[in-house]
Amino acid sequence: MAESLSDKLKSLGVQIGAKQLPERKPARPKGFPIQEVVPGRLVETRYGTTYACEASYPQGYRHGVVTMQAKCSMHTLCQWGQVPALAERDLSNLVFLDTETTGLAGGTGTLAFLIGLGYWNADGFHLVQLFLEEPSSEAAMIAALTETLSPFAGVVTFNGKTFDIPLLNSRHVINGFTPPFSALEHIDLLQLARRLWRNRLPSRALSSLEGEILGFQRTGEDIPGWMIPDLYYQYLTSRDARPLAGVFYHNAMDILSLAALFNHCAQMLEQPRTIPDPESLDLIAIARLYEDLGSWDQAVELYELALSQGLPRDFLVQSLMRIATIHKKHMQWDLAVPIWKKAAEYGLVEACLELAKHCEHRRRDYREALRWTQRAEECLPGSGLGIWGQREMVKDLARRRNRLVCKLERCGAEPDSELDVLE
Amino acid sequence: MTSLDHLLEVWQKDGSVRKNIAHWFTDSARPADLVPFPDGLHEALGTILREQGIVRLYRHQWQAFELAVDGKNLVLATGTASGKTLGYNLPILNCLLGDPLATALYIFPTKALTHDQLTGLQRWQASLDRILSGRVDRGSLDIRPAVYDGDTPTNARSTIRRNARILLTNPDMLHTGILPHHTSWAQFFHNLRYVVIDEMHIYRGVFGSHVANVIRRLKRVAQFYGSYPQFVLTSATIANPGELAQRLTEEPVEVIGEDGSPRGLRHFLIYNPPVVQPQTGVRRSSLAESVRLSTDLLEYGVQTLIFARSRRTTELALKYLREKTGNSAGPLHGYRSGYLPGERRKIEQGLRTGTVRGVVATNALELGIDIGGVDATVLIGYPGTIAATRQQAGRAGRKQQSAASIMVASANPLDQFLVQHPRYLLERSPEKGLINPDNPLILLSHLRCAAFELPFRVNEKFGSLPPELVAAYLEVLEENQEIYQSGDRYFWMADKYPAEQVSLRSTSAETVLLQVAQDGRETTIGQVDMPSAPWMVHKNAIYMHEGRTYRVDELDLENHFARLTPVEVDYYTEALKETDIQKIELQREETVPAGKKYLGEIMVTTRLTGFRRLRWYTQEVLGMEDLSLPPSHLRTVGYWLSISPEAIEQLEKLDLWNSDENDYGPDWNVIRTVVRQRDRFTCQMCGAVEKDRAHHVHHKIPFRAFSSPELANQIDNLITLCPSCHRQAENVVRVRSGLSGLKYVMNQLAPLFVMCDVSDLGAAAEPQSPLGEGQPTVVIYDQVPAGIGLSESLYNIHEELVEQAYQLVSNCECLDGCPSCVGAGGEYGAGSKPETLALLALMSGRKLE
Repeated sequence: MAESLSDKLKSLGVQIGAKQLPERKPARPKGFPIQEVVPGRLVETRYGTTYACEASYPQGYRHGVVTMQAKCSMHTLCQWGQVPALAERDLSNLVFLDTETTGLAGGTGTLAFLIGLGYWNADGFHLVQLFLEEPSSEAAMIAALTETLSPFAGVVTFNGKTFDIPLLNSRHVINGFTPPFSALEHIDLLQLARRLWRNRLPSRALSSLEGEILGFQRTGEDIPGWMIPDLYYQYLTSRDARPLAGVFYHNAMDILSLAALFNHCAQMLEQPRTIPDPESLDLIAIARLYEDLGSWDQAVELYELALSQGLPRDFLVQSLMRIATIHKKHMQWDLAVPIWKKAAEYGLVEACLELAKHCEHRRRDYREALRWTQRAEECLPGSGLGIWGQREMVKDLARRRNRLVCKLERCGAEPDSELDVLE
Repeated sequence: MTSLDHLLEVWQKDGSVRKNIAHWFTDSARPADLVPFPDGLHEALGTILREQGIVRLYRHQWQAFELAVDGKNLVLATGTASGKTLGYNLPILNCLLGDPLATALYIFPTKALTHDQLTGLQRWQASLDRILSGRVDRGSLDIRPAVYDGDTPTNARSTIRRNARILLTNPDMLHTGILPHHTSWAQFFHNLRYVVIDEMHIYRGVFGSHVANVIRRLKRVAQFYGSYPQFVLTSATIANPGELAQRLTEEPVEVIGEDGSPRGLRHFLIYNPPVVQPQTGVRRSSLAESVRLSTDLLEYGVQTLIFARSRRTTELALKYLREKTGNSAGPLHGYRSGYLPGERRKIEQGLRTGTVRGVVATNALELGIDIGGVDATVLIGYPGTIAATRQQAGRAGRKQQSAASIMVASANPLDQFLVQHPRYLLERSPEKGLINPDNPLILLSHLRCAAFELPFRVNEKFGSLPPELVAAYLEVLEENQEIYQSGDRYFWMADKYPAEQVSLRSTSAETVLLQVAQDGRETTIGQVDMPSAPWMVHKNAIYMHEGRTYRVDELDLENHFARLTPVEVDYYTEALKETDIQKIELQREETVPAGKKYLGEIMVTTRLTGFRRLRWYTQEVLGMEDLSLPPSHLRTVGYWLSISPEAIEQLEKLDLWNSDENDYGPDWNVIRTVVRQRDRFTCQMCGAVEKDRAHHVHHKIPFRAFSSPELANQIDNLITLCPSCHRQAENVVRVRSGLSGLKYVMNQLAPLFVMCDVSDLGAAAEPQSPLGEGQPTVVIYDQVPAGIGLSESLYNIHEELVEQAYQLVSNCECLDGCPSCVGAGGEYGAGSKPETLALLALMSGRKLE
């Protein structure tokens, strides 16, 4: 062709090699190979070799304010994660996993160039980082990964359910392997973090939790996540592995934080009262979780503890109602009623309504029931219910009121025109 | 006799209707061509068919089955409602029943069609469940059809990925949702045996070229998992079903074109609204006439489907019909893609059962959604392609009953041309579906997507693209830092998801969004590609969209948007463009009568100088404004024809000009004398001084371009010329006018042959063109960068195109040119019919009288 394709495309309006792209370094100078930057060894597999960097952290290592433990009771955490098979197992049966990739969008064009794996063994907390020196040797890395994963019963990740595991599955399939993850249980701590800290923390990103919960501060060596994909490309074209040191550090800290967070969460769920200076909002989040697992008594205990510590108004009222609802479920009216009354003091319409129902159907005290109905009607405007909710509620309360008035008339009693002073 | 037959009789007798019916064709009833079930048919399928009353197949269905079982790719190009769906469902269901792992992919152009077909497959599944319950090995008998498109809820997706055996989707979902995530579909692809491409003729032009590349990527991914699926396509009747199918799939494809389904008596009427203004050639509105005819039909109780070209026309027609029929016709409904799916299902159902008596629809109801068949269809204007006309008309007809279709022509040149040449609508279609999958812009986008899906190996092909060409594109991607070569493969490295940036319906991601402020918010009503934006939506342009008129308040090219306001005005705007065309590379050339034809790569630079406001119908120029906008460049493929000097000479000799001096106004003689005096009785061109006879006085801008003699005869517009220079000057005007008319008519007629919109082609006329070696030249080019195959096809059919253009112009009833033949514009806003006709006569090999 007299005219190059590139020139032709440019004259058709295509942008090629735009100005904002960093300048390409000359091809493959002898540069700084990974071996000189991040110490490690070559791992042999049937499909070639892959590079692995390893490190160990002793039992009792402090990561932020958390002491990393080889043993912890994770019964409740596994119940929450719906992986009961792991509940009675040792922590050493779990592997902590995090990847660094060439892109964050997912899909078959994304590679994992660094796979970090952490696990407890006799020496403490062992960290293995598999590195893809050359994309064409991915099969070896995947083989090494499968090998490393084989002894474990479960994998722990942060956002792995939507990102890391589907990505690794994809890499297995592309290289012709069967993905091993269907045989492993999976706990994704991001899901738990959302449950626990949705109301208290501005962000449930791992970096945010690191600071807020683990009290851990990374060094200046760290590279922010969004910069990472491009660094790998730079490494490939320049063969200068020095900028990658920060990526290895980033990945290592991700895994350590993941493991520390796991320890912390396991303890929080198992023995929330042993956490020093627990946050009230955390307590009620755990209580809510206990409710889902059917541990009603523990839930009530935690709600009460949170209430005693003090809660913001909305959460306070919500917690009161949750306690009352638990009592109601167990038909313990004498426990529920005082709580409803307390909530009613805060002007909560639902509490008044419950009391009205209770008085009408169980105590047959229609006068009292009517008073509670009227109270509910009074509280309605300030209740924060939306238009539709209010409309329905107005109708419902009006029906209730009319019915009660009829019942009182049939009994021969006069409905009171004024509201009694509430007990 | 049915009520339809009654009405048809009435129309024949009613003078006011009869005289406007340009043509009345009757197609006699046709019995079915039936054959017994094929031997290889699974007995369960046979049972189900017999339960529905089907004991034999139409021949084309049987052929499809046999070819499919034989491992061939095939395209079913039989008519509307000929049972094509059964034609592909039978062999595929047969295959799935015989192999518990086999899967199939069905691709439909619209979501509505996808869901309609799903219902059909679910019925098959239900019947199979019923017949085969209690059987031991049920594995293969689950066909588990599922739709996977943008509306599929997230929580259903992973189940579908794991379990579906027949997957129904559309090209866009395949492009962004399935192929880039193919590892989640590993089992599905591994067992993929069939791919169905329904309504294949939709995949033409830019869209078709994109889809062809999506198919290349599909085949590449399937191959990765070890599959080489068979392709089964269906198509409306076009001139080249086999060719298009082959280009889309890059596989040999057998064509099944003979329709074996039965048909009752069919009437096809072409109704041409009468001319109401002879000077301008304006006809009564096709909408009004369509409403009139439809009212008759509905009042006679004939179930009628009315097709309109735009949503606005649909709404107007519905409104008028409701007004005119009151309640006497039963419920009338509209139907278009903006309606909710639930509403559309109800209307479809109503049509099937007969409770709904009349529907006004856009082409949304054209594609194969099952509505049974109505008794009559009315087409408001020519639908744009012959295939669409047949599909819309084909909706009329239920089994053996008689049915009628009426096409009401509009003022568009193509409509009027078809009124003169109805055989195109009835006989073999001249329409070719054209694509150019190797258009560099389109190819680059898809190679990018393909590289994302699977790394390219060194020396790998892409579809039929040879490795060297693939390598050239990969080099471009490397230069862009999107891929990296490691070992013998190129890996995707950019932190981007390429499929998201590729729209299957345009060549560039760069568009200008058209925004209208509605209810306090900015709504996007459409978009225009960057190169067209300056002349289509410049400031103060009048823009039409979906039958509505808007004025452009602002055009912001940098930020890619234009702000519009709806207006009701009686004028439109026409941008004054200076188009400069440079030849980049000549590919072919040939001598033809009256000149030469050429094909090659060109660079079209368009500069807007201003725009005019023109009143509708009268073309009166209401005003003019300047514009200053940066020029836009389009590199594309064009076809141009030049007029030879000999032909120009012949034109010159003709006395075309009706230059009777009395027509120049009452004071003409005085003015003439004044001008000659001013010019000292000397010819201003050659310097000759008057001798025996007075020189002529020539209007620089022709007299007929002005609205009054006073304006035309202004001194500045007049110049003294000797007779021979006058003749030359007139000839220049003549040639310019003729060229302009030629350009117009060829531009308007070309889509008939290459199945595109008028706006898909650009046209230019240059009296002294370097492209035409200095001769007067008309250029027609693809509006798509790097071309999409239209110009090339036009080059090949040049002779036919010219012949049909001649026929169109010579048969037109107007006096001096109109929008239905040579355009009302002309070079100076005056008609140019005689000049254009003369040129066309010479170009089609005729002699001039």
